[in-house]
Amino acid sequence: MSRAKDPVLPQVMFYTKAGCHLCDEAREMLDDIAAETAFELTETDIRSSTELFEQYRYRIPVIIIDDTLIIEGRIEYRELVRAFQEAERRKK
Amino acid sequence: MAIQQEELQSVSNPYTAHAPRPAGRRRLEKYSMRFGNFLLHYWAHLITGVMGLLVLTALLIPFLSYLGLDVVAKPLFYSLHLVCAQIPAHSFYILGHQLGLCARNLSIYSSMTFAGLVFILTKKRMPGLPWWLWVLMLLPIAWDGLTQMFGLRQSTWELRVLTGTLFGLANIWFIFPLIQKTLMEAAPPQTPATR
Repeated sequence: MSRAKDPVLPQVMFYTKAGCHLCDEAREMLDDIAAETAFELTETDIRSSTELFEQYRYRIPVIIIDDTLIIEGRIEYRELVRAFQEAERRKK
Repeated sequence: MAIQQEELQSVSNPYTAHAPRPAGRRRLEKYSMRFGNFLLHYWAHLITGVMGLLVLTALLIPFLSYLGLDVVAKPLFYSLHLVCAQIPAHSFYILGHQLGLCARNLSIYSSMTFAGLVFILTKKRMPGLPWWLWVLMLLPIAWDGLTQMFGLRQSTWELRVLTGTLFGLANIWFIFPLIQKTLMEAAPPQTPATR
């Protein structure tokens, strides 16, 4: 996981909320993937904005990779890995 | 039948009875018999209890999360994944926290608990559902679930609850009386010689 902005790396938006068990699980998956793949992560608590809260309250955790690949709800590790592979493939 | 009579005779006649069995084996047989009798009498209580426990746990999780008891709430939530997909968009929320079971599963297990309680309270005398009515009550969930699974349409929480409730009620109403009838037919006759 890289903290510095790098346009080459996949840009990952992670919408979450404190007390969301599925979000904790998804966060652990992102950590596991970060051990092998570099990406730019932006984590947002949906309670920071009413608009975000209304949009994602029944969908979180929501992971958006490069503004196009959306994975949400009960996220499977395999599904997430595949999305990252797809993002890498698109960048090539 | 002939074998049963032969066994009864051998038990009641001390001259033809087998040699005494070891104490450990006798104790094991005694406890097995007690356990068997317990299951025979309380099978419906056990199944209903498990269903009720699932519902209670699912309802408890959001309250625990709200109180900040994630140490308890999280493992409970994850363990319920064994019986439910827990899709957030298909679930109910209490105090902003997702329940441990989705709307459909919550209604299935709640209705099963309810029907199980009715069965127990009627002293297991509830008449069984005819098979055609059972099938008829399962059709709505099949239609709702399958059309949604194949992306033909999106279900609503009302339909999930309604079809789930019908499914849960139908299953218990059909299966429990059937189990009871089978157990009654299979139970050995209670004669003084066997007591």
